[in-house]
Amino acid sequence: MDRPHSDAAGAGRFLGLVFPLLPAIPLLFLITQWGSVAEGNVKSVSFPWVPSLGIEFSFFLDGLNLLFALLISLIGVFVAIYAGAYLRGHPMLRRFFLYLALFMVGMLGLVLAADLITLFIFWELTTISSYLLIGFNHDKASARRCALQALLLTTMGGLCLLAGLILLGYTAGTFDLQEILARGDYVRGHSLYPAILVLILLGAFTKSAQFPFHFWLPNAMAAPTPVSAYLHSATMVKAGIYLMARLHPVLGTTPLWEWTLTIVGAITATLAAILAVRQTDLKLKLAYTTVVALGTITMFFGSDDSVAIAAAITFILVHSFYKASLFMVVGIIDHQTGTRELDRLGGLGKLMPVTWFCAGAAAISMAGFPPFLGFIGKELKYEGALAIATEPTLVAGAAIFANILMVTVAGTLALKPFIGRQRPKSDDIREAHWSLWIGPLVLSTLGLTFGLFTPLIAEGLVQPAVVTLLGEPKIVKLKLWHGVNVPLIMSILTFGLGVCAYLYQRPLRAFLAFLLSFFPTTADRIWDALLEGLKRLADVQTRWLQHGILRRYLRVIFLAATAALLLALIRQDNLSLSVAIPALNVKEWTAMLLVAAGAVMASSVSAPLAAVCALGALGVGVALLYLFFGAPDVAITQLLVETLFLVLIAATLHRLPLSYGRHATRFRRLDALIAIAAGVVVTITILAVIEQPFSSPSSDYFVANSMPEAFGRNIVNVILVDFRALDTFGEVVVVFTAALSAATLVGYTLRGRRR
Amino acid sequence: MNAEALQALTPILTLSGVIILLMLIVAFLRNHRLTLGLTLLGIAVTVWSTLNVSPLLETDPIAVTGLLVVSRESLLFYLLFLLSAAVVSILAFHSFEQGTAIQPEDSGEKRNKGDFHTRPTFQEEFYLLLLISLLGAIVLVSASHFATLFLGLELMGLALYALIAFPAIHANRNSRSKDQALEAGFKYLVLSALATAFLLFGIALIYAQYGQLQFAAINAAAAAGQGTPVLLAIGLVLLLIGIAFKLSLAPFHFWTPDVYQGAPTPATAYVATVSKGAVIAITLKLFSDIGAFEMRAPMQVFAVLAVTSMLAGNLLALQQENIKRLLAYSSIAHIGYLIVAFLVGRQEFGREAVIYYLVAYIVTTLGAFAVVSLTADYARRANTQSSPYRISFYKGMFWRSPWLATSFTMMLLSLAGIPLTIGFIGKFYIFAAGVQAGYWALLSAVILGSAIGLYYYLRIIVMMVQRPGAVVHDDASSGEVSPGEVSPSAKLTHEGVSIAISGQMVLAVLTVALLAFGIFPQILINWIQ
Amino acid sequence: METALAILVGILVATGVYLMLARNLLRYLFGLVLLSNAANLAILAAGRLTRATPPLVPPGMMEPPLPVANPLPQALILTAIVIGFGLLAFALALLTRSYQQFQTLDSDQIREAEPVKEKKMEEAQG
Repeated sequence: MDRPHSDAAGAGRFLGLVFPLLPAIPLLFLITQWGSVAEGNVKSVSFPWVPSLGIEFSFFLDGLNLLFALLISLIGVFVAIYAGAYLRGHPMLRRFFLYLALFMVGMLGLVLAADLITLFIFWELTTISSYLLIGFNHDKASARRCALQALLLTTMGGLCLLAGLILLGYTAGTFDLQEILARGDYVRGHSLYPAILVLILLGAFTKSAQFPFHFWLPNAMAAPTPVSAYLHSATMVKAGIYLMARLHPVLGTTPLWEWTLTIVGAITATLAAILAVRQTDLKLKLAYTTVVALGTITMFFGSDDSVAIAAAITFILVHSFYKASLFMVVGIIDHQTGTRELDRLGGLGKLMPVTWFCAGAAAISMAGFPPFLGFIGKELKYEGALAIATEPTLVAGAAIFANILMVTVAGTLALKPFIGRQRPKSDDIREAHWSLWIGPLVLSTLGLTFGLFTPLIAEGLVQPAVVTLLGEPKIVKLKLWHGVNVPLIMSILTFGLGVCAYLYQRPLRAFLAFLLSFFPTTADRIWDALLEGLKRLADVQTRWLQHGILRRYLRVIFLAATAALLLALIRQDNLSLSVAIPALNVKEWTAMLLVAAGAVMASSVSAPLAAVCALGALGVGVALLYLFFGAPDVAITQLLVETLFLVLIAATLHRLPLSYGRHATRFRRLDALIAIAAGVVVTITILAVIEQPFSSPSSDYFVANSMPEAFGRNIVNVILVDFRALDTFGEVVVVFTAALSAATLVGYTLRGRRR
Repeated sequence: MNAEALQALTPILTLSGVIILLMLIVAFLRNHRLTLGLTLLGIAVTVWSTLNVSPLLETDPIAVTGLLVVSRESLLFYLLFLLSAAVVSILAFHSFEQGTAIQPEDSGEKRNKGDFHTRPTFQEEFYLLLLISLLGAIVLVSASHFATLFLGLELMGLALYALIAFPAIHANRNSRSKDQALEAGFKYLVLSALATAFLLFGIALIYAQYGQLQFAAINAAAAAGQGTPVLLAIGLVLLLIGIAFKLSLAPFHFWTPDVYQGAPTPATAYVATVSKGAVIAITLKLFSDIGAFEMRAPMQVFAVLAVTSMLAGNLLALQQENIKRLLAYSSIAHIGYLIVAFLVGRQEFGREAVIYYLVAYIVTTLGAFAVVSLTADYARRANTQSSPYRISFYKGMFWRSPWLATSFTMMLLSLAGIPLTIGFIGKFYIFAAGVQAGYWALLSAVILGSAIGLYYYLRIIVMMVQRPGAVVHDDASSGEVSPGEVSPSAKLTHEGVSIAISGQMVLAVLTVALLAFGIFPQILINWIQ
Repeated sequence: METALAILVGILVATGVYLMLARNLLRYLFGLVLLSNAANLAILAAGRLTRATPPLVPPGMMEPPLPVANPLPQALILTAIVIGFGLLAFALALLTRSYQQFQTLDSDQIREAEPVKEKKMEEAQG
């Protein structure tokens, strides 16, 4: 912020060294628990939080979330080392580490949560901290736009998720995840199941960038590379995947679940693969391949076959390693050369051998060549795809297609920047500092090691996860060599086509561009258009509703109120009105006529003075009515108040205009119509009400008790000053307040000395 | 009236006494600081007397002469409103204090004929009126009779009109804000008076059937088969229209943005929190006493109003550039959410949800307006060219005044219902209440509305996070700042917003409350229960 | 009797609403007077009309001779009249103040709070 840079940089270097220890703590803890969890034990810890709502702050550790938690903390360590080097000297490094730490906590909390609401809270924490991380380069307008887009999309998804989780919680009768897992059959049979599923999947799909929400992820590449390496490979985008895996036993195995996940996943994977090949920006290429991976995993979660699930789980692992590594490699290239545009890079292999090695190892794993973990993952994928009952052709087709293009992309990434003529021409380009390449090196090597020592992975990580996910014991075998079978043939086919595609990259790219030109618009643009449309709608609505013209407001209000009353009257079945010619005597008729004439005159004259006179006559008429109908007290008050009011008006009238014009001609008819409608409805309502038999026990009480209890002969007065004395006191206060308000406003201030 | 009833009345009596005392003191000795001190002291004494009453009500609420009922629930509202009023009065002090001297830019403006401003201005009445309005709110929430309901409502409202139009006579406001204040004053008056008319008409209809004005007695009469439910429903619908005005539920919300914008920000905060809170509290009480939760017509009307409010409010807020108007529209939406829980008010859970959401709403809204008010005070003092009420004024706030921006962010996150704020638990309650009752259409509206709401809350946060001096290209379409122009806040680029200690404390307390009840909601839930 | 009163209330409401829909604030105020009178008369009607004796207890008796006019609505009307008066008096003060400030009582012209761009649009529409 405002601190001198040198100071901040020094502190940053120190922080860069210390910070990686932070994710190392949970990593060590998880490793100590590994053995026992792999045997099927579940550890849990819980704190009461909002007992009255049934919410607990609780966590648990089982085979499934152990895998995720390990990935998060392991990659976290390396990303932290990498970030310290990558952003060295950045004035806001401390802030960056704070956000990163916040994100790690959010992510770990999310996967370990054992309560739906706890889970949601960490879910939102990752959303917000990822927003801060993506938008870290606030200077760029594009970064801000993309950060906002990602934030909006994922928070809206989050909102749906919250609704879905609450629905799920109330359906299952608890927010405790472990208990809910045991009630899958009940939830699936519930009538609310489709709503729950759709809402939760909306949350998961937005977070994991599934079609049609896939566009935010490539846009989020505006983030600094360490952020992309962490958030967009192994962690945040996997949150949605985790959620699907976690709730698979509860929501899965229905046709709705299977079809939705399979189709959405297949579309995402295919579309993103095409887009990935088309890209020339290295980082964007990687972003799209991440979307491919996410789509593939989603597609496999659509099934409940153990091989498919094992394939998905293995792929999560594989993908996290190579993708984090590749992101970091691209970051190194960007950092050292200043560009990540494919066409401007070449021949870096000699200058940066370690980086090349990392890139190569990760890319081979990505392309699925033996003996890397990627190969095993891919073989398993094909086997799983064939095992999926619903639509094996679709799944296998999508998987093969995506993989062919992945081979191409992997080749591009591993070879293009490193071979050929050196570009950009500069003498400054040299191998990066060790702290930059250590992360990708270790992760790539791990990919290789795990590939060679498969049982370690199969029994230690994948099998417990699959068993937890499916809720039944399954043996998962991961082998490099399965013998010659259909998946192997598919693999060979993939390699062949992939290499071809790599060789004919340029025409392929041109062809894909041509193909895509048939789609007139991208989801990104649709989203923008959607937002724009919403804004325009808001504008229109604001103009239409909130124009600031008082009488138009009033018109709407009177219309709405009249309509509401009319509706209520119409819906009443036994509405009976007895309209008899009223038997009034002459003086009563006179009073009524006086009132009516006063009202009509007041509404039609154009001089305020005339209107005041009319009002005066009306007031007298009303007072007379009170008098005739047994309310002399009211009559006297009415006269008094009327007089006072007229005096007030007379006193102020000289400050007001002499004429206030007539009713605006344009609206005279319309307004008269509204007015008459209101009057008629009111009359009918009163008539209808008066039809009801009436007894007034409290009036009877007052009549009976006013003399014996309060010793007053005027019952109205007794009510006011005795039975309702409080109320009358309040009335006095109201009048006093009105006086005070008026005085304040007019500016007659109470005299006093000013200190 | 027995001794117990009198004791139950002590908070109301104390507050009345405070008002009279303050009035006397103001009459002889005008001192702004002293008045604020006395106001706060008076509020503190009333809080103390309220807490003293609380043990009396361990078992049953106490009825005072059939007009008022003091229950533990109403005491909770007393405390809530008293504390809100304390915050408002501190804000008012800052808002009116620095302006005793007429600012140079103001002196050049046109003076209207018959202007009164040449005399020194007095701001002490503001506190007096505030306390009177508070008294009205407190009477209102303990009403058990239509006469008291009407009285409390009018007492609260009458003082409010003057509070809203207050800048019209105040010297430290420029001519434009005077105009706005007057406009706000009469708009509120005009529509509020209309609401009163609706209310009275509704009361008349209800009375015409049952011959009773006491809530419980009406319920008893209705249960005994007197009158027709439909006509009672019509009366309640009319009553509801009156209430909808006060709560600014769409389509009776028209006054809200204009009043929020024109009124001095402390008064706006008061309108948004205490005034609406009291109306909600009494409506909850009225409905459960009178058995209206079992009636279809008023519930349906309420449901429709809730949906229109949620959608219209959020849509109207979407493109707002004025922060006060934005908060006005968002408050419309929030009351809409609250009504969803209100519809379940028959059950204990629904009541709890309503009260919790109300507390969350009041704390958050007070906080948001506190930020706006204090920022505007600073801008007035610093004589900034751009209006402090435009959202663009907050651009880069994070870098200039990190604490202020952080607390504002908390408020906005709470309004958006993001976890670990009080607003999240509120939203949780709304969802849960809706789910329990199976109001799917309403819930969809809540989700849709909140989704739109996210956009404009987050937009402000994004604006605050923007680095100062950043090019404003992508905001040009929504803001009035054209790309070439220097951002209006550029003048303040390296200057933080300075706020007096008491203002900072108010913000700190509200932010802490917001987080504390967001992280440990059980404390508040226990109080409510 | 009630029928006549109901129709009278209807007339008062209609004229009151008509006045309130005008652009002049003074007209609105007069409309409010009409409407509040209408509300009071509605309350009177709601308590059922009698030409009977006012609710007064004659000397020497403990209860008034029946039939007697219903005292409760009368008490409510008294409250409403007084509060209505307070409201009107205040409204008048506000109106005077507004006239001084704006030199007009035309509510269409008093639109300070509205966004400028909308104003322009209104002007463009004519």
